[in-house]
Amino acid sequence: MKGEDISDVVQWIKTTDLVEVSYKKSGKGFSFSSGGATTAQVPYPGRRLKAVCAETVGIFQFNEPGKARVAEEGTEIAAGGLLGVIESLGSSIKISAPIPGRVHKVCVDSGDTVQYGQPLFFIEE
Amino acid sequence: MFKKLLIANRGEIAVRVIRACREMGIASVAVYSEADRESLHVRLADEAVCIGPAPSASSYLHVPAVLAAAKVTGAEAVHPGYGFLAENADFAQRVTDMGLTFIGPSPEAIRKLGHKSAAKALAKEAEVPVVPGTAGVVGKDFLKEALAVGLPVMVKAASGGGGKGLRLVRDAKDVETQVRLAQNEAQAAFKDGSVYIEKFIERPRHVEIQIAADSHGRAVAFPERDCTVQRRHQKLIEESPSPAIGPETRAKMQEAAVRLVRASGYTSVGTVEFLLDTDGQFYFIEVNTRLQVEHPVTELVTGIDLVATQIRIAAGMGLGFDAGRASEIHAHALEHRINAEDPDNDFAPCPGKIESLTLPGGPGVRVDTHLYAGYSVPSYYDSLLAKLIVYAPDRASAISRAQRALSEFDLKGPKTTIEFHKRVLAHPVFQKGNFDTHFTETLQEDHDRSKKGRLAAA
Repeated sequence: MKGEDISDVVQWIKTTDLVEVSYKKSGKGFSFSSGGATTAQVPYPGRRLKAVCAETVGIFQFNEPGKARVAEEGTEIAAGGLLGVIESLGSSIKISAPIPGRVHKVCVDSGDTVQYGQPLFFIEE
Repeated sequence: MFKKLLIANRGEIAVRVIRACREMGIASVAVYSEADRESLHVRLADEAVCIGPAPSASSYLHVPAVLAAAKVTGAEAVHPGYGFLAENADFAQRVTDMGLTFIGPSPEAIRKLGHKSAAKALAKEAEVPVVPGTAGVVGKDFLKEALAVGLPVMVKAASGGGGKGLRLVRDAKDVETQVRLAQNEAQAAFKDGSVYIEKFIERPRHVEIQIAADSHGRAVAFPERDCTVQRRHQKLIEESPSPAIGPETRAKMQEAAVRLVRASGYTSVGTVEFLLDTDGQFYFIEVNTRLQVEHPVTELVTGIDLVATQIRIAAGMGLGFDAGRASEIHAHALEHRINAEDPDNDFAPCPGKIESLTLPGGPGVRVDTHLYAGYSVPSYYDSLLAKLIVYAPDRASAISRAQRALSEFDLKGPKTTIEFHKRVLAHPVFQKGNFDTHFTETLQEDHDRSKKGRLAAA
């Protein structure tokens, strides 16, 4: 199958949110992957930053009640290190650094309501 | 009245509920998945909370995320729409446990009526006709029992479905063989060979009664909706009143529906579904304990806002109208569910970007949709794009008006079922009004035949 045969299909796929498409008829066909963007990696001139986003809806705090704040801009943090917690429906969900690095930016404040996908921190590798 | 309401849904129904909230002075909270960031319901709501990634299981069906969104926004009530969590008794319970109001019936009512056999038992108690059949599983004298039910019958496994242990019997001489076959199949599939027998309804129509009940003891029934135009058990066109029902049958069905509502202590809006046999007999099949997709049909026939009614009932208010008012027929209404599907390719779903959009308008035309030009229909959810509902003084005018409206409906981008709907309206069988649930098969056969004819002639 030639590229031009499926260029219409590829154009259509690009208008959708489909990430992977595969088609076969009588043994012939094609498969196509659009690469599927995620929000994790943010290109920034001269730096490699990883966004840490909320995966729960709730109220952000820098630590559990009574405990001191750990993450400030400039703080060196290990992988798995505590950045904060999200209080949701009576539970405290820990937000940990996915990679070792330096806290480049803090995007939220104590007591902020956060939604799914909302950037909380940027960690510089 | 509530000050703030969260809509636990998406698409056109979320838009519908937000509109009711706006008219009632209630602040609206939308929840959305990452795939719905650009969706209309997000733009229209007063507040919006992203609750998860695209897949429904992680977003619209993810109860903790929906509840957390209600909590952080200070919503006082949650409207579940239809589908998703609308008939999830546990969700309704958790909303109530949080001190919020679930816009719908109580968790107990959802449990009681949502269970098919429990609902059927309750219907029997309320003297609502059910599909005739054996009282329980058949014993040794099953031939006698089958004949008592009246052939043709369906032999059904008591412990499961999915077509296993299901046998159609038309002749008395086949009863013994088919019952034994069904029993063996059921035994193999469900480790329980018990079967029961139900009358087989050959060419049914699907007719349903919208009901509403408040917490002050008032329960009313609205004019029926006929939802017989279906494909693979999915409704495509609904109309009210039904071309197959006269005032006497209407009254009997409405009374039966209200009896069931009272017997179950149900409050809120809901729909009692029946099958209508060719001899005019109706049989209860199930209750939908929620607002339905086709509610606009009844709104246009009666002039009563069902979503506002639902919210008022949940707020503890009375219905505001009586049974007589609810029953008034002011127009004939016809709804077409326009889906992002290719009718020439087995109705395969067609997500994609809407390049341009012109919606129909003018007298007697209503469009309930979340579409706008430039919107990309995601692939993760159902394919409903829009509901086109028309109303007119009588059925013939309604059909004419629907044809006029469909001819104005211009959507460039994903393939839609608009042409299919035009074909239905043009078909003499549909226009006569005398059809059953097999009608779309006839339509497809006629269409395939005429396509072949054109190819042969070309």
